[in-house]
This record gives sequence, C-alpha cells and structure tokens, in this order.
Amino acid sequence: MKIKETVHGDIAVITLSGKMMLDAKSENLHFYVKDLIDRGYSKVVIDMGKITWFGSTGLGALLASYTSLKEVDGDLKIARATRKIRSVFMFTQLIKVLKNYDSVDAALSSFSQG
Amino acid sequence: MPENQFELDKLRSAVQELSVLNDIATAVSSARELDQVIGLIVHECVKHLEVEQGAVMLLDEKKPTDSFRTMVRKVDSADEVVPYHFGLQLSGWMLKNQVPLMINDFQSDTRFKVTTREDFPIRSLLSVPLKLKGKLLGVLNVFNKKNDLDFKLEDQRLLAIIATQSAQVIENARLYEEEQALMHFEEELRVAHDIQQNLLPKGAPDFKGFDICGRSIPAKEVGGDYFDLITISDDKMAVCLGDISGKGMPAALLMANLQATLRGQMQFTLSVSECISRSNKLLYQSTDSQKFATLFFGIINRVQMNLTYTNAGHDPPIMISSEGKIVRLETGGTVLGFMPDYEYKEENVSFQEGAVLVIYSDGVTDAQNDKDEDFGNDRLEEVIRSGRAKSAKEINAHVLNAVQSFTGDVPQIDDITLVVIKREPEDSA
Repeated sequence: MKIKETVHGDIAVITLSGKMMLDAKSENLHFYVKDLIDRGYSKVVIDMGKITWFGSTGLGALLASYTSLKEVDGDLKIARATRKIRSVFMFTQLIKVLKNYDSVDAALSSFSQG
Repeated sequence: MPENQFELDKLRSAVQELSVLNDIATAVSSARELDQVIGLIVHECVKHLEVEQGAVMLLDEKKPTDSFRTMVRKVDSADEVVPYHFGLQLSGWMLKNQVPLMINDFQSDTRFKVTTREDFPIRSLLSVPLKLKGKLLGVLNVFNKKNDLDFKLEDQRLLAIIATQSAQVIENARLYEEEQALMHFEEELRVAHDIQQNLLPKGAPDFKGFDICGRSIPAKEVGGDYFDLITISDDKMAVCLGDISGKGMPAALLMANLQATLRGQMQFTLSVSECISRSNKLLYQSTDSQKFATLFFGIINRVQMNLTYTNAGHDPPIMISSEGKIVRLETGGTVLGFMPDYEYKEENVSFQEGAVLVIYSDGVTDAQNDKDEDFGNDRLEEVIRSGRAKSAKEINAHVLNAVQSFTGDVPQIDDITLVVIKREPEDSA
C-alpha cells in the first residue's frame, strides 16, 4: 500500500493506493495518522478510491486512526470508498462512524458543515 | 623559518587528525548497538572539535512516504539542541546539497527559519553529510565552538573525515539493529503462533446429531483469526469465530483475552446478546482503545433444534438448507471493543435437518487470484451449495480447495478460517 499526503488548510488528505494489509512493519496507516496528530493535524480525510484490497486488517487500521483522532477532538472522513469497502462498513455497522463521501472535495467541505 | 613552521603546523594537525580518527576507530570497535556507536562518535567530535554540543541525525527509511524525516539519535547534551522543525530543515538542506555546511553567525543566517517559540541556543554550526556509496545516511552536526571562536576550514575538514570514517560503522550498526529487530520479531511470531494454536480447539466436540469441522490457516505464521467450540451441556453447544485487528503477539494476547472473557461470561448467562454486550464492555476496558475484534457467537440447542446467535460486525455466516436455500446471519451489531455501551441484538433461527452452517473469516472471501479478483461471496455460496450434501469435513475441504485453486500461486494475504456445522439427516444419525 502506498500513502500520499496533501494538506488543505488545517485538513490533511491521505491518499491510499494498493492493497491495505498488514506486514512486518505493521499498521502503517495508523502510524501515519498518529504522526499527523503529532504534527498538529486533527482533521483527516482518507481517500480510498485506489484501494485494490481491503480486509479486516484495513478496517482495524481505519478504526484505530479514527479513535486516535477522536482522542484529540479531531475527526476522520472517508472519501471514495469502493463498493467492497462500503459493504464492510455496512455489515460491521460502522457506516455511521466512518462517514464516506463521493469525492475528496465533498469530504473536505463536510468539515466546515460541522 | 615561517615556511618550516607552516610545515610543522600542517604535520601537527595531520597527526592530530590521525589520533582523533584512531580514537574513534578504537572506541567504536567495541560497540555494536547503533545508539552506542553514535554516542561515541558524537562524544569524540565534541571533545576534539572543542564544541558545546554534537548530534547525529539519521534519515528514517521506515517512513517511506517522507524521505526528509530524520531522527536525532544522539545529542551530547541534556538539552534538546535540534528542535524538530529545524532538524527537518537542516536534513532537507543536506539531502538537496550533500556538501558540508558551516555557519558562524547562525542567528542572521536566512536559510533556516527558526521560530522564536523554539528555545534555540545555537550560535554557530558545522554540519557534514554522512554518505555511504553515494547515498545519504544522515547528517553529523556540531554546534557552538567553545570560547566564542568561529569554526574554521580545518574543523570542517576534520569533521568531514570523521563522517567518512563513521558512515560505514553507522550503517553496520544500523544493519545489526535491523537484524536484531527481525530476529526479535520472528521469535515473537513463534511464541504468538504457539499461543494461538493452543487456543484453538484440538478437535470437534461430540455433539450428537451434528457433524462439526473447524480449520484455521494463518497467513504468515500468526494471524488474528480465532474460533472456539464449547460444549455447554448435552443439549447445548456454543460456537464462535472472530477476527482480531492486528497480527503477532498483540493479536494473540487479545485473542486469549477474548476467549477467557467469553468463556467467563458464559458462566453467568446463556443469553448470547447479553454475553456479547458484556464481553464488549470488558474488552473495551481491558485493551487499548485501538484494538478491535469482529465476532460471530451462537449457541445451538439440540432439543429445540435451533441456533441463537449475535453477530458483532463479522462477515455474515451462511445457513444453507438441504434444498440449497441460503440465509445470511446478520443480526447483532458493530465490532467488539469499539463502543463500550453498545447493546447487541440476537436472533433465533431453526437448524433444520441436513442444513449446514458455514462460519468463515474474510480471508476466505478476500482471497485474490493473479488478476486481483476476490474469491467473493458469490463463489463461496456456489461452492457451499454444490457441496452441501457432503460431510462437515468434506465441505470444509471442498471450500478450502476451491479457494486454493482460485488463488493458484498467489500467496495467502490473510488468515483463512472456516467452521462447518451440519445437522445430520435423521436416517444417517
């Protein structure tokens, strides 16, 4: 999995691509988000449009990231979740927690709508 | 005479340099740990260059997304001399220029912006790249020449020579550290693997009228999948299958925790939803807030011939009738360990003659072939439908073989766990 970062004002956008799985280096995404928090970002959008594999490990990384952000009064928004990812959000009943938006722009503007 | 004096000075400084290098070589030859090696190098630099402080910043390759990130491994002072943002600026400059940098009046140097917020005691600095085979490993820095003196070109030359000598030693120590970490990781995996294997049921319990087979194939030594089969009484048996976030030791410990919690709760209540609601709360309290599990939990009652279950965010199991009609078991709630006061729902379904219950982890449906296609739910349902007349063990093998032939040579990404429970037809019982 590759991680790219861009910044829009006080919101960090992380673009993921490839297979979202765990390896020896472990929980890459969550480490990344914790590092963002250390650097002063508490609002994060994760663009998942280019994820080609998503399993429970990916869900664990998203939930861990969400929890870390909530602990600093921040928030996590998801953009462009694939059908497969949305179905996982559905059956885990996390669709209300991990809010998905059709585009990064929509996710970004959701922050200003509170 | 002045010429002789000049030659003599040159000779003296050459001898001095050699002695510094010799000191460093002798000192680091006894050290193997990276921090120790770097500590000695910094210490020698501070001593011989007569500066207040020294620091080695290494580029951190573990952050593949940000090659500018550095970690300060050793500062020869109790005070943090390299504030975070300045460290980034300096290593960024070095990454771009890769040449020595000497600044004798730091406060008026415009290349580096240091915010006043940061307590920054630097007057002068000398930095040289640590390079090995053309690749930048990091930066060797010394700060504040003592007695308010300026850094001179000789200092720069000496530091550059030290850097050249040190790069290989640092790289060796770094490789040693990586090797140690890998060995530690492998050892941890081995122990975690043992823990996990001991948690899984050794065989299927004897539960009259039902044919049961569970299997778990971990990806990469140890995974987060877990299943359990617990005989409650002659008439009741509990089954659970879960997937724990993470891998290795943390996952294995959480798994042990979950198993103990669940088994413990079953002493108090046989209401599956209550059992799971309580376990969820306990799990939330006893683990750090970033660990989760999905879990399917059900109790089969062979008097009423039904299954009461709750599904905590797990892939919905398949109940297939002898006629081939499929029902997905979706009632329950969200994943465990995420929301402490969540109330889980339960559902009761009848377990008819010849029906087969297939509980699986997402490693089954998410298995991919060389075209990056998932095995998926449709294929799984089809395979189960075609094999439903077989025994539990045969159905289990039938599904695993189908996954195997679908993925071919593509390595297994995630744990694959499959529990098959079949209510035997009356005539064969």
